[in-house]
Order: sequence, then structure tokens, then C-alpha cells
Amino acid sequence: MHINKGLYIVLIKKRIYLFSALGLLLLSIINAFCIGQYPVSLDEYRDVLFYWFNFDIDADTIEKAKFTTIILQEMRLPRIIASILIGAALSVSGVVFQGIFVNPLVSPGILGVLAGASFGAALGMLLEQSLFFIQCTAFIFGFLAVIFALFISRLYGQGNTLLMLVLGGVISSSLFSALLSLVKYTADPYSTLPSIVYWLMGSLSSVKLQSILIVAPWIIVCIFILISFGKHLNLMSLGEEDAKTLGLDVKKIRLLMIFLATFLSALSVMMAGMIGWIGLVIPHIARFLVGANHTFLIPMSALLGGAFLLIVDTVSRGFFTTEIPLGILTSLVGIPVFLIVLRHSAKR
Amino acid sequence: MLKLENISCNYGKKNIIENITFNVKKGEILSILGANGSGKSTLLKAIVGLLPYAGTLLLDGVESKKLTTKKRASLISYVPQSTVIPFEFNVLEVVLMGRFHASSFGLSYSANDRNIAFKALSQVGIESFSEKIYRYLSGGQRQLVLIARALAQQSELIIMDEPVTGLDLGNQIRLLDLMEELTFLGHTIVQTTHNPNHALRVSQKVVWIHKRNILSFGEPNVVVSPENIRKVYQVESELFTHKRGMTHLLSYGFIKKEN
Repeated sequence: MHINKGLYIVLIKKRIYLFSALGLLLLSIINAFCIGQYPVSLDEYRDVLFYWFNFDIDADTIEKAKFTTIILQEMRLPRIIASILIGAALSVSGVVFQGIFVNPLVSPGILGVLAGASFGAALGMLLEQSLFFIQCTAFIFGFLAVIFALFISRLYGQGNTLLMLVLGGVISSSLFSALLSLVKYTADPYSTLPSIVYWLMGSLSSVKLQSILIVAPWIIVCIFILISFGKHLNLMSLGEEDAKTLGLDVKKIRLLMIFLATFLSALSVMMAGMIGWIGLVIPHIARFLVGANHTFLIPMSALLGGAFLLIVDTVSRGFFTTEIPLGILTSLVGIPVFLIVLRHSAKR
Repeated sequence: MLKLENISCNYGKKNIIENITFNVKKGEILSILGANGSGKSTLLKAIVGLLPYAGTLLLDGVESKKLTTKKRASLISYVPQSTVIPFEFNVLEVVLMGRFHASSFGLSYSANDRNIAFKALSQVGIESFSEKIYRYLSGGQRQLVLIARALAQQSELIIMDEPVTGLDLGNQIRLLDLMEELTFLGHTIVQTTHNPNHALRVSQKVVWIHKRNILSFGEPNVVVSPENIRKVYQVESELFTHKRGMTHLLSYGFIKKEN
């Protein structure tokens, strides 16, 4: 095989970027373990490990290690895992939706999943207070919103199916936003309304280790399935006609991809509420670094998205006396990053 | 190789083309001529399986409707009018996508698929920029990449929608030469064109589509005639034979539409 030099450099570069992203993620994990309301040093974590594996340490250290273990299990670990998973899920979902819709400006909310899930969560808070119930309604209504959008596009989907899908998403989104306003309007302004508003801003503070362990396998499996469909997504992102003449069963694959991407974003909203920007910005940055080939792009987005949300969450925990909702911070941090990337990609 | 019998296509109740019947033999180039909006592109889309149709459409003797999308992609490839992709795929990635129908499920394309893609790139003479980003290429280069992608599909039949549109004179001639070369390698080509001279130059058969129907079908020297030009475009023209034996059509002057 005759590879020219330029192509070789491109291939090497992509791998370097992927490993750098992995490095960034590992660094931010270590960082996140140490920073917080109660800073824990790496030495203290070492003591915890000694304690877990019954090394010979003095009683004083054991006491301290016990305490650190509690912080680790109850607070640090759940949030670290959750922010990586949710950041990855939202970014991958964004990549997939952008590919399906042949448009780099699409975000995971295009088919109404975010609007639906917000309404579902608000409704859940109105009806019952239990977190599990709220998560369930958020997830269910997220999916219902997308099914509604698909249904509308089916009704009139004779000509341009992509356009009809976008319109279906717009209709579904506005329907569920209206319903959300209705719920807000009827909610008790002193208790339920603030919790709805706060939830909509996105936060990881209520995340528990058990619920993460339930959600984590689904997110990971979903991402791996999507990576394995990289070639299909590449074809899809050329547009419907090209994909079809190249041998892709567009309708079937598109439905499967929409299902998986919706699943990912519904899971993330259910865990952490509305966290904007990641699904739009991270795919852009990843594409800027490794190109449009989804076999590289999806893992890259997952790594970058995970690292980004973890860093933002660490900032929100460590640098402010009261926790700032994540949705606000992702936008505030995301916008300048996005502007820098846009500037660089305009130069090319 | 390709046989159409009474093919009709419609959008809703409106018929775009009606009762189209013609056939192409292996190794031939067929040019489809017709005015804007006559249904040429619709016909091509029906042939490559992008639009539903009524009638019989045989690919290598098999009814096209009965083929799976993958199988069809192995028999027929389509070079659309230069597609704009909003994403930054490099040229090799775009050409490799031509191998999709033959590749197995998995992360990357096999070494064999890569070799085929590289061969396709060198066939159209663009192996030197396989790492360039497709969307930043010029229109002519993009057209060549799409042709390379069609070649990577390794289908006998190649369908091209106005392949020379947007190309400069040199690239137009090179593309026509390339089309002839491809038929020597065993490909069959169906193209639409707005230039009767290109049809005269490369094709063995010509179809005129006019007002949804076939106006005439036959050898280029017979059907690319001043009468047909007058019927389709309402312009006068004359045929010249060059000293090298090539026939050339020169059009001039508008004629008033007869009532």
C-alpha cells in the first residue's frame, strides 16, 4: 500500500490527539479527587489505599483514612464518575445528531428530548418528591418528545425527510416547553418552583453512587455501539442520497442512531438536569482535532466531553463558596472555548 | 447491462417522467439530453434507486426494486452533482466510503478495501492529495474525488449527473477522456449533459428527454440533430464534421416559438 507522507502525518496526529485527550481526562480525574470543600491530598488517598488493603499503619492514620473513605464514597467518587459519563454522553449524542442531520450546528435537543425531559422532571416534582420518580418521568417524557417528533415527520415525510424531522423536533420542543411553563405556573412558588428552576440549571449535587451504577453500563454500552457504527455514521453525514447510493439502509440506521443518541441524552438529563452547550461545543472541538471520521470522532468527543464536564464540575465545587449550577458554568466556560476554536477553524 | 421499460416517476399526482424505455449495453456510454426541468435528474435518481418508479428497471437482468441497498450499490454507482459536505472528511475517507457495501461490520476498512481506494485515486490521478480535506477542494477536484469514490465501489455501471458542470474547459475534456478510458476497463456509463457536443464526442447512444417523454433514442450522429435541437431548445443549429472526423454542433439564433 502506497501511503503518502501527508496522509501518514494525519494518521499519527489523530492518534496523538486521542492519547492527549485521554491524558487530559486522567489529569482532571486526579485533580477532581483532591479539590473540594474539604481538600484531600494524594498522600491521604495513599493512606486510604493502605487502610483498604490492611497495611500496617498507626491508629491515627486509620481514623483519618476512615473519614476520607466516607468523603470518597459519598461525595467525590459519585460526582467524578457522573460528570465523566454525562459529559461523554452529551457530547457523543451531539456528534451523532450532527451527523444524522448533516449539520454541525445541531445540538442533542433538536428532536425535543431536552424539552421533553425537562417537562417530565418538572411534572415529577409537582406530583411527588422522590428523586427516583422524578428521574423516571424525565427519562420517559424525553423519549415521548422524540417519538412525537418522529411521528410528525412520518405524517408528512414524503419529500425531504430530514427537513420534516427538524420541523417535527421544533414542534415537539415548543409543545413540551409550553407544558413546562404550565407546570411552573401551577407549581407552589415557595417550594416546588425553586426546585424546578434549580433542576433546570443542571447540577450533579444530588447524584448518588447507586443510581450511577445503574446508569453507567447503559451509557458505556451505548457509546461503544455508536463507535462500532462509525462507518455508517460517516455515510450518513454525507446526506441521505449519497448514503443510500453507497449502500446504506438510511431509514433503518437513522432510526437506530436517533434511538441511541436520544437514550444517551435522556439518561444525562435524568441524572443531572439541563446541561447545555456540551453537546454542541465538544463535537466541534473534537472534529477540529481529529477530523470528521466518526470512528475517531466519537471516542474523542467522549474523552473531551468527560474531561470538560469534570473540570467544570471541579471548578464549581472548589472555587466558589456556594455551588454554581453546572448549566451556567458550561455556557460561561464553553463560549470562550468555542470562540477560540471557531477562530482557528476559520483560519484553515 | 441496464434496461428500462415503461419507467414512470411521479411526485404526488404530478408525473415527472412517463413511459421511458431504453437500454444500455456493457461498455457503452449513454448520454441523456434534455432541457432544464425535463426530468433528466429524476430519471437518474430512479435508476440509482433514490426514487420509487413504476415499470421495469433491470440491472444486469435483475429487477432493481428487488435488490437490497447494499447489493444495488455493488452493481451501480452514482456520481452526484458535486456534493457539499459540511464536515471535514479527507479525500481518502470519502473514497473509502465507496467500499462500504463490501466491507464487513467493524471499526475500519480492510487493507484490501484501502488498496482498492488507492487504486481508484490513482485512476483519476489524484493520489497526491489523498490527505486533503474534501470540502476545501475546488469544484473540479471534488468531482474527481466523487468519481474515484464511484470507482472504489467497483460497480460495472456508473451513473453521472451532469459531470462536467462547473469544470473549466481543460477539466471538461480530461473528464470526457476519463469516461472513455473507464469504458475500456469494462465500465458502462450513463450521464446527463447539457452539451450536445459532449454527447457526440463520447457516447454510443443518446436519449432525448422532452416534456416527460422520450423524444428520440439512438446513435448520437442520428439523434443529435438540428431538428431535435429545435424541438427541445427552440434554437437553430448546424452540424459540422471536423477534418479529424469528429462531428460538432454549432448553435445560433433563437427562433420564435410556433403557436
